[in-house]
Amino acid sequence: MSLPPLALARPATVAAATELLRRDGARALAGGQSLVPLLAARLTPAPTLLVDLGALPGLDAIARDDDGWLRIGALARQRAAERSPLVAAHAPLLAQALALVGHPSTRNRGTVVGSVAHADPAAELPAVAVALDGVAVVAGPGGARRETPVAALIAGPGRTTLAPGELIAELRLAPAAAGERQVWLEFAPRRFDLPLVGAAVRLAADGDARLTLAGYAEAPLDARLGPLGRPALEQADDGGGPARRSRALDRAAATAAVERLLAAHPPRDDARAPAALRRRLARTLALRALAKAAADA
Amino acid sequence: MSAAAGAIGARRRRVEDERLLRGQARHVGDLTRPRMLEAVFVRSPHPAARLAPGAIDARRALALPGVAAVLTAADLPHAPLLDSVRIDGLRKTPQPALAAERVRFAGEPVAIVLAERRAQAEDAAAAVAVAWEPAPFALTPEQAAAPGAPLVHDEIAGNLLYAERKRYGDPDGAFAAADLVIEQPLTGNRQSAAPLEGRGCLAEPAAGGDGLTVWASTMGPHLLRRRLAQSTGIPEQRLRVIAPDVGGSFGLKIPAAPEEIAVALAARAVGRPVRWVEGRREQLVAAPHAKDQRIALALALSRAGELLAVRATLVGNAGAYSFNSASALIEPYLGAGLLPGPYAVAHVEAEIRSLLTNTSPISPYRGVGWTQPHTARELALDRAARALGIAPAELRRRNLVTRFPHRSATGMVYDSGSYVASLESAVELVAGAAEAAPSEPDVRVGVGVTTYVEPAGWGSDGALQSEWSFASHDAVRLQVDPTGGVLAAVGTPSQGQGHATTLAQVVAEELGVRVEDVAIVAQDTDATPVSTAGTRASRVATVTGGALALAARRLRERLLAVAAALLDEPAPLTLADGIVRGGARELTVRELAEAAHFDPALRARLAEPDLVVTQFHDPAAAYSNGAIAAVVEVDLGTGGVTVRRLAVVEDCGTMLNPTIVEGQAAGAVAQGFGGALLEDVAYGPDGLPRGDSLGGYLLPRIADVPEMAFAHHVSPSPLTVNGVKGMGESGAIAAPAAIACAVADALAPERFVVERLPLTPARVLAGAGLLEEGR
Repeated sequence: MSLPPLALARPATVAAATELLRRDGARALAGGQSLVPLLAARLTPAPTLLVDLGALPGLDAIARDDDGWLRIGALARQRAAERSPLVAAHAPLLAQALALVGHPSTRNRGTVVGSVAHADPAAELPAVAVALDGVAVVAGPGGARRETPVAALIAGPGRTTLAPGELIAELRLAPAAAGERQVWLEFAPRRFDLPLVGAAVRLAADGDARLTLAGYAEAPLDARLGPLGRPALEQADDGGGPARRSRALDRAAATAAVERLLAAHPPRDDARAPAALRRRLARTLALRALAKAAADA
Repeated sequence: MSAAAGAIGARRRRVEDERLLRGQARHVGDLTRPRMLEAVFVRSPHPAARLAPGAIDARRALALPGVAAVLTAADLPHAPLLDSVRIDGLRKTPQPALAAERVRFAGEPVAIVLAERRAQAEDAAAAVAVAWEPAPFALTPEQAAAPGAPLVHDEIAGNLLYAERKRYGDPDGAFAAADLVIEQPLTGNRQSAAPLEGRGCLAEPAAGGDGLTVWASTMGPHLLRRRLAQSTGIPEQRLRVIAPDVGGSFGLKIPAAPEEIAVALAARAVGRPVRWVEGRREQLVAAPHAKDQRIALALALSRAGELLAVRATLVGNAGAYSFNSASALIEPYLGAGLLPGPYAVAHVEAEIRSLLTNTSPISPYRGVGWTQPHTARELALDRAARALGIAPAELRRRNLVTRFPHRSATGMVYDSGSYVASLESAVELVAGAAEAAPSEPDVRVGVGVTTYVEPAGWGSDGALQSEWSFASHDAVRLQVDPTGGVLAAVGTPSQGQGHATTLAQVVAEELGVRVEDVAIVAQDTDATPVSTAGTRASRVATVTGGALALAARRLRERLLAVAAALLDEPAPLTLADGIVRGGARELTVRELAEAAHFDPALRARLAEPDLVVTQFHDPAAAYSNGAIAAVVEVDLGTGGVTVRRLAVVEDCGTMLNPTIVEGQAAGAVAQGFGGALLEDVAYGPDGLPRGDSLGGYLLPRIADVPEMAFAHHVSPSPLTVNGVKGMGESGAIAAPAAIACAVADALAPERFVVERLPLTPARVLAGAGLLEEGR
């Protein structure tokens, strides 16, 4: 199908963009890799005005704050983030997940922030943003700026708490702590698809574990699982090589914690997967991600 | 055979590819004509509904910018499409180009909207108000057969299009005497051929006459011309059908589409060219679907592993019409004929039923009705092997046909083959692949191997052996032009098969010229002799290729006669690489052609130096064979199935081009892979397909398709020209069985019986007892 009739604006400043977005039925367009196909398939209500953010200056940065947090601008492409040494060093979870977001052609256009704002329950990036304590820097009309945790930003499938006139100018992500391991695993029957379930694990050096699930619930399901292993030990290699970290995962404790979490939250049930499958996938992926995080790097 | 040795059988690069890969192909969607209108159909959102007179209100649509017309059945009188297959007992349902009083499946068109631009036509189609009166519907054969089920067509009682029991030998006796009976149910999935290019056509009325030129994405230009003539009343000689580049079809574009008729009628009604290019959602919902058989199969075996009898009930979900050009019986009826497969089994019984339902009609799709019964039989053989304590490959080896010709219980005469050798090659190619430890402790490894026979290269004889009425002869025209170039005109265009390469190889070999001096024209009914069936049923290599070989032999004699007259040379003449040699003298084909066309002196010696040959051909039946082996990993944590290794062994007799044979096999296997694990149109309880986009209909992408290892055996047919057999279906018949058998093998400890396809993660986990539900 062709796109529905719609008006397109391409503002040159954030202030102009926020003004345009105040209009009834206006929607922001970043990379367009989710929104445009949905519009063409007429699966989402046609906006009266599509506000193309593509001309806004200075929003494509991938940088570090003074306090070490990663800053990802609204127009930073997924491919740029995937290839960024800063992301690889400080948010390996994001780097791993990005490699599975769509495919290279869509990542060349798609933006990290756009995917978070699109809030597809199955998508990788909203869950990763929640797992990394993501904070959305929101620009509003009249130069207003506020910061809101991504966990609070996502209101449900395809819904955010952004008010009319607001856009996410930047996403801030907490850097990995010293000795922390991050693992992203996901499952879909077909490559390049949104996962049925994705699992983000952060395993701290002291054995404290955190699990964030994509695809399982209506929004990323984020939980601290508590201490699941012994603290990391420094071990010298036999050959005198660099020190390696090793930590033992308490499998029984991990299984119990994951099952407790899943029992408390019923999974989604839809045409893509019955609830029982999502539950099993979540359990499997969580435990495998925990085991992988605990294994030697 | 001529001395241009090696043209047949050479791994030549496809002459088509440069153009296709550079994006220089021209599909219907690339064509425009002056004053052309774009067409979009108004389609039923209901599986069944009635329309009162005046139910379609186009006033709002007609007021929109660019809209030229909104036409309904009442505006476009025509004769409905009707299946021309002749099978006793088959009831037929005429199908209109546009439905009038009632719609019978979701997606059935009721109006055609014409506008200057596509987007305008889409918006206008959405603005057409239709007062649908939703009616009760049946989606499955079970629902359609239930007492009191809504009738899809009032005149077809019980929605039953066809019911027949066929017995060969003494199946009752064989089952009574069996040591082991294995019962195997299988609910096959409904698939979409989902070619890269959907359907589409462009119809242009002839200036000042009643003729029509139609560019169509079709497999059979002459077939479509015939249907257009029948429906529109325009005589065939005033209809010209051209198939431009066609981006895949796999059977889907054999039947004439009701939409093609509607576009032709609409173009005539408004006196302007009209183009329709099918969208993807439209293709998945409204285009015909495929497969979708309910099978209850049973095998009778002796303790020693002898396959005594096969018995099966095959129920086809025909969809809403018996359908044109290729009947809905293409599924269960053809499946029944191939129940013996490659095995020497003497007793066969088939109960065949085909039921109308409120779903999109069934059209041919690669592997046609053979795929799902083959899968059921092979799954049952594996279970028999386990029950008897015989290795699955060994059980098959004991029952494979080894002596040729072999007349199967159902009457097919297998002319030649390498059934045992192909099985052994497939087993060898996966040897060791099952040994490596899986990546996770809860991942299992399984192996499946299957042997198949493919009724390939149907001429009329092959069709008869499948008890199918099907005129499947072709005529071709071969000519040497004045500059010595060779033009072969055939009625079987390519949708990706590479005919411009393989058919040129045949002509070059037989004529004694270079492959690059042969051009194939195949796309235009005004330029080619009639092909009764078009491209389908793996028939081009034997029917068209055979005709071309015979034509080339005759043309070669004529060239040599011209050369003899010119050289006045009694010595034996040879023709190779475009050069005639006799004694010490040489003449090029170019010189011969020049003389034949323009040299009056030659005419004095040779009354008719005619370098145009037409050739009719209707080959004997031939059967290809092969084997596929799969090693899979089944992840008990996710239900995911990964194919670790896939061996594809093909024997299609003399190969025209092994690279193209492998490409065909790989494509067929990829589609079989999708059928085994991913693809399902899956109507929901609302009567609408769940797989209505490529997000929901899981067509495998190239990254999903496993690497394949190929091996060839060559058993030339003693019955066909050059021993060639067809091979287009091959892997599409057998790949689902190999993969399903491998999954069942991995889950043998849980006694997993595959009863439904595709093997989704939920079904795999449910089969392993790890999930309470497995839809």
